[in-house]
Amino acid sequence: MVTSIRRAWQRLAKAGPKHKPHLELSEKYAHFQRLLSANNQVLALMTDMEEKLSGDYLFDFHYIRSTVDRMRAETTALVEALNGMSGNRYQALSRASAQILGEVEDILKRRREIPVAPLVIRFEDLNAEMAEIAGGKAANLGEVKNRVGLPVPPGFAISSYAYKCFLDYNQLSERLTALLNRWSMADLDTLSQVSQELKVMVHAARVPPDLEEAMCQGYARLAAETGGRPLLALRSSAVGEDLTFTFAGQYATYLNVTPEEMASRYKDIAASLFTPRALFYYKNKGFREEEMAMGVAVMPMIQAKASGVLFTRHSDPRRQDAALINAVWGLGKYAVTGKVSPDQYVVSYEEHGRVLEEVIAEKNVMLVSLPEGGVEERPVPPELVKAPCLGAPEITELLRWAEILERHYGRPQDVEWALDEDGRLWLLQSRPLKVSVKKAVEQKPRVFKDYPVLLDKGTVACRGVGAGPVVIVKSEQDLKNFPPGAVLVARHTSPKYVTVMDRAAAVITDAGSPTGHMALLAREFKVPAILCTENATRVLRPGQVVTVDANFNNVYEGVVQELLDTEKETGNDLADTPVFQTLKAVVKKVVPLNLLNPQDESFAAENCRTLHDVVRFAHEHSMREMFKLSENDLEGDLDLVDLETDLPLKVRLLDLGGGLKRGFRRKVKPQQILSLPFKAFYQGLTSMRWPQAKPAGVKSLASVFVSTEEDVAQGASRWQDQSYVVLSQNYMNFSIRLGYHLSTVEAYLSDQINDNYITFHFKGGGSTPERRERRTRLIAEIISHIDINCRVKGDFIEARVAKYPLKDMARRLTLLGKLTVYTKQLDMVLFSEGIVDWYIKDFLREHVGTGN
Amino acid sequence: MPNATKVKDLMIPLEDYPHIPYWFTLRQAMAIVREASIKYEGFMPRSVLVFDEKYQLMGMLTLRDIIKGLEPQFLKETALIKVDPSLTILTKDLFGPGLKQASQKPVSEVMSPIKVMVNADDPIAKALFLMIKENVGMMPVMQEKKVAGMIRLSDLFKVVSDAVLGDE
Repeated sequence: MVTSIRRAWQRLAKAGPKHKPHLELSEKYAHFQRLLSANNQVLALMTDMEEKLSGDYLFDFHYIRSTVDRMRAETTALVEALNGMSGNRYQALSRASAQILGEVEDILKRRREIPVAPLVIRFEDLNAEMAEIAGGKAANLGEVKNRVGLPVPPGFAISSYAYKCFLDYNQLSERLTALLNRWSMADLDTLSQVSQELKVMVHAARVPPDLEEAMCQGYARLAAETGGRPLLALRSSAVGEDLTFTFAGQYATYLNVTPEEMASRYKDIAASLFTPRALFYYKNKGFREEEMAMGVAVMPMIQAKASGVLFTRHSDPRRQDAALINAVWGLGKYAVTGKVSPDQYVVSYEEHGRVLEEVIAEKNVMLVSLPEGGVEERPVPPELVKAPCLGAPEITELLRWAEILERHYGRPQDVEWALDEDGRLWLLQSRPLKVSVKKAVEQKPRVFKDYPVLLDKGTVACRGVGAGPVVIVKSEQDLKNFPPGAVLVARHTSPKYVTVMDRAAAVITDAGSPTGHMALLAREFKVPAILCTENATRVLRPGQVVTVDANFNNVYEGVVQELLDTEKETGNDLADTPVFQTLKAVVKKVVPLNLLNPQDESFAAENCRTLHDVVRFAHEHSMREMFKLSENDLEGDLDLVDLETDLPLKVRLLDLGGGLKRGFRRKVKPQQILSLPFKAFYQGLTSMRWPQAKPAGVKSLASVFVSTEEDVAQGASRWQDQSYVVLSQNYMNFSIRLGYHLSTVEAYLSDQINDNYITFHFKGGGSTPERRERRTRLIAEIISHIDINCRVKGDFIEARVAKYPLKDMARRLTLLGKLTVYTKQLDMVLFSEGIVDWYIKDFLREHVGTGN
Repeated sequence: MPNATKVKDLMIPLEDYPHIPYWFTLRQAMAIVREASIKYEGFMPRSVLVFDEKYQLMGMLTLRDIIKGLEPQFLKETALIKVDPSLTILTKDLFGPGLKQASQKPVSEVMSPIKVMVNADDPIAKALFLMIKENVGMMPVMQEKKVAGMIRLSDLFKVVSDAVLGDE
């Protein structure tokens, strides 16, 4: 590489100043900028998707669709930009990215097919996995009845397949499609009209004879089981009802239905799929009508003395140890709709059913079943108006249910129950308890006064709480020995930390970006993470036990049990919904990172399995492309100008845009340079001692160290002392020749932390190989001290630092400028390892302020 | 019996010496000298060689040069020794703040320039002659017109004394 750059420089040197800007190089830079921007966009989109998966946000299919669309556009732009920079050398990446995007698209296109099933299925034969067949409500009743063992009335489900048969029998599908297609989103006024037409169509349709027959058989069985001629409750049990809470309470439920009305009510429930609101939702989210399917749960009517709702967890965070029960007289509909204020009981788990809070409301009316069918509102008998609906035995029993259900489902449940005339409790419905939207917003920042706060600033990358002993990670060895349950503390973020994400209790870094690679990984593994704390590695001591509250950016000394406890109970209530599952499947194709180490052979376009891999690969290679200015880049007419400087340094500049103030001709003064990285670096160069003029009259003798043919071949020759800088407002690629060594400092500095990086290459020297290697060690140690990762091969150094804020990057560039001057021919003096150590300390003491 | 020893037999190779570029400070040179005493146990090179950017030898820096370079006042006020024979006044000055400032000057200002050199194949007699004549303790040894090493009076002295004392 060195040889090719040298040849390029020789061309450059010959080219001289002309008036046309170099098209190819500025184009390359423009591609680079597009790539950086796309890189940030994709990372931000990934971050957002993972946040949605945390369970604290509501989202819908439309969100996934539009996010994927934007992600495709940005990824494609990014890959194109990399190819634009490199003369299309990354075809393999284009293929990999197209492949992954195709797979993501397949996930989105996955359509719900209505499975073939019996038309009618007894609750005894149902369980939670059969939501596609029986709809969510009925499937869950089967689950509770058969697997949880709580009292659910006997009953049966009319399957989603029955719904399909109903449509087919009446050839409704095509007509539905036609009607829906006629209606456009732009025409909201006609929405209710279309909804009305659809309902009429469904009502006019006939229930197929075999379905009617199956319903009758189902009823006959029920009648046999319960004895007599029970009236029925028909509850909608839509497939995908839990897609979104938009639908909650949207579908029809009929109480106290006679067996003769069953078929007609069935149609009513089917028609309730086409309420204006449901239609709008489906159309808006790009669903197809065949994906809407309705099941129905049929149960004998419970002659309820009282009914109500049980939340197995109180929604108030201060009452997290309690269940909430509400109750009304008569049928439960009034408890749900808010027609009357229900009694409320807050019941403690820890204190085994003690009622912590009891509100007995004035319940003036109630809903009751009529013997001939139908329901009616009645006044509550005066002696019951202010009487509690529930006594201690019922409350205890409901709390027992709550415990069993939470244990079974692993998350809080929203239960409907009824108390019959004989004093028996029945469970009529159980579904996941709705989450409050964005619960984080409700919480107030908290500080636990009993524990010393060690850190209180930073950026949260993954919310949560974790506690454990601090392990400061500096090397890969530290990662290998990383103990389970420890808190990872590091100077900066690194995707390599993925290897311990399954073990880490939390992650804290001094620097880094919440939309960076590691932040994405932390969220994937749900490891609480706080970045950008600035001084975590200095404040926290190895082995010190800390509690990391990555909800409010606090790190406490010791274990704050209260924090860990509250966090445990924050389950994810959305996890089972199809929309959540779809996002999860998409995120799986997008976020995991397989390309960890750019130095590995496996860091190849062919090995990109996710979009994250693609952008990481592209970003890494874009920096490499910018770094290596090929001969082609420097061919032709270049608009080069000389830098007018007092330093004994000949510098020629090429501006790619915004790097120089206007109004210069063939020379620019340092103060005319606007390039941020150049200014920082130049400040370092000028603040050091440079070789003064040699004392007059001193005789110099050539020594054996120079100018053998062999040295020239090794790149140790003394090139014409000409350095070159390619720069723009945010960018600099500075090839410096000082005496016998060539170093290249490349940097991108901006307010966008993710874009920032510095690359530093160093090679050569005129001294003995031993002394050159000592200088290499000196440089490597000094730059490690300022947190630049480097690799050393012989006397060649390759170093990179990225993702620090602008001012930190500028500080490092200034130090690199100083180091460049400091190490000029320093190899000459490095005759022992001891003197290397002294010079390292000397530089750190004088310039970094950390030596001692 | 004529001694057949050549200069190159006693020469200390260039790479065994500490080197320093001419614009480096006295302070940096002192660090090197101190380190050298650790590296060469019992064989301490008391000089640092000064080179220019092209790695050409410009001069030598002896302990004497360094102390002189630190500019203690007594070098300027030689009359002082008559009134203050133990120079107590100057002890404070020598280790005072002026010392640190003086240590920042470049070595090229205080080094001893090269006055004379000798060829590697020359007999040691010639080397002795030149050293005495030019009053230097060491000088560069040339091989094919390039400096290859240094020859020191102390090493030549050993050969001479071995001859005189008959231990050869």
